[in-house]
Amino acid sequence: MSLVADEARSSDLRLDGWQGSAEPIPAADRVDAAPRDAELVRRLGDADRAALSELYQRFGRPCYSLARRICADEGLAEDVVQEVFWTLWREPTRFDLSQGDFATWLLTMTHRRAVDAVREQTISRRGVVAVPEVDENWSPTPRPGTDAATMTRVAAGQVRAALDRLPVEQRQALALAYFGGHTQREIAVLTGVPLDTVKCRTWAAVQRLRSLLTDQVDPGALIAEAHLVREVVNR
Amino acid sequence: MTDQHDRVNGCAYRELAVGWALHALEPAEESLVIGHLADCLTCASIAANTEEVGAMLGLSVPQTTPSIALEYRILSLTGSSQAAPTVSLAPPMQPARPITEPSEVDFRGWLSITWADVVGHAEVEQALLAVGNSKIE
Repeated sequence: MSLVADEARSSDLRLDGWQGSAEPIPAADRVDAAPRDAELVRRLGDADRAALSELYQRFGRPCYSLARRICADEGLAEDVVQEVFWTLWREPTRFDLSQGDFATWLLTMTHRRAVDAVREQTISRRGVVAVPEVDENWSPTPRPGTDAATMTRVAAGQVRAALDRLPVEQRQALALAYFGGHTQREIAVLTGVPLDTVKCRTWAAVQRLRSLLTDQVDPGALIAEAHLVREVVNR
Repeated sequence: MTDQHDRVNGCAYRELAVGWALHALEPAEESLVIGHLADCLTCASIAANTEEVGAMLGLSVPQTTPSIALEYRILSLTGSSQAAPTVSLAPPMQPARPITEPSEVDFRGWLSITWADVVGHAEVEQALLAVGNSKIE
């Protein structure tokens, strides 16, 4: 492993920040008391299976949920997650703490693998692509049988609310890229606008979203909420 | 793109950096950006920031529990040799469910654009242009 002590301390600080706003969520306390993500990744270098198991407990569900959202197929999504965790186990040094936190790295890898998987199976392109409406309400709507904990995912709701505040053209470009797995060139065809316009809209969407989310939504709270949902489901 | 332009508006590659972080570039563009990111701190930072935004989007989706077998499959791989796992990303036997199927989608109310029965690129372009123009006004 290339992680040194200073980097580990840096990780602790970063993760402390991540988990700060998760205070009201009981699950966050359990996570907070557990080894830091970076420490668990370091232990993978020693072929510590318990560390991988713990990382899976923390991130398996969020990774699967993202993969399933993109792949729209449970089996394919599980294959993606398996490949992601296998890569993590086999090459833990690919995670470079100086480049960002572990959660972002793992979710980014999951996203890329899921998009690749979708692109490999052209049949999936026959699925329905979701494009946001101008006046769409992005708030999650409770449905019969929906777990109550899902509805209390405050941070997730804040992300969706921020997304909702984007101009529809920007939101559309970002959603088609991130959740739809489309290239910008495909989005240009899909939306009937020039490629440069798509690039500009996507750029603007990310900058706007980032400004809306900074200091308002704690990514650690998103992780904690995922844990909370899991706890409720498993209870 | 001139140096003056770059100083005023940022690196000329900044939009590509965002596209790269979202994994939304064509292969030729992706190769171009990868080489650029190694030399441009501005774009590297833009890409990192975009990945953070992407991760937050990814974490905001409704949470779904994978099968118990998945954890077993992953952990069982670690107990074996270092041989590559038999992960198959081949197309599923059944067509993928539409993304807007009601099971897990909170990003609801979006317009739906169907790719069904579209195979060739020209047909894709024609169909999508028609749909896009009618849906996005």
